[in-house]
Amino acid sequence: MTYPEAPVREAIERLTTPYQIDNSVETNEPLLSRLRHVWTPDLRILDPDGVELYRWNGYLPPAEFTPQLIAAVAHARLRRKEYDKAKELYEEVLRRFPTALVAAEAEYFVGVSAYRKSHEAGDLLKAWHELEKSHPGSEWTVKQNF
Amino acid sequence: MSEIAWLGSLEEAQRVARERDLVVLIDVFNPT
Repeated sequence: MTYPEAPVREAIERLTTPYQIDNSVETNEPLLSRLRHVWTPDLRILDPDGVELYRWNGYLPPAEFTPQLIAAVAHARLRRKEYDKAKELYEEVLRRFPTALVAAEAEYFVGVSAYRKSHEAGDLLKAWHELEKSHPGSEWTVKQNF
Repeated sequence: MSEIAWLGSLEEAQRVARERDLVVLIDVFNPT
């Protein structure tokens, strides 16, 4: 199980207020319907107003779950225009988990976070150049290649 | 081994997130 691992617990407790929903319980159906839930594991990040800001499906071992969670919270912060917080969290993913599955996505959006704050194209291009070098086969490299 | 302190409702999770400037994590799972 992913959650007993200390790094996973630490990230969840530091960055989120966590709530679990058992999809076999009938009384949970209205909420599951509202979430358009279809498959487990089903992880969502919501802002305090209940707006969904990130989601993912599928099991991840602890070494991948922790960076995915941090990147998900980073993306939520980015969408809330909290650019400094987003950049800091993406940088944490890249520093602590440089070979994680989510690292390419983090590299893509660390540049976006920096650019959205500074409006300096160099901030974006620097990160995307690094993305191209470090993850040449990634979908995120394709997405930055315009 | 300490467990995660899952909150009792989505409303509570949203309220605490607002108070502590956090985001809500929802984990939908199947027990089987």
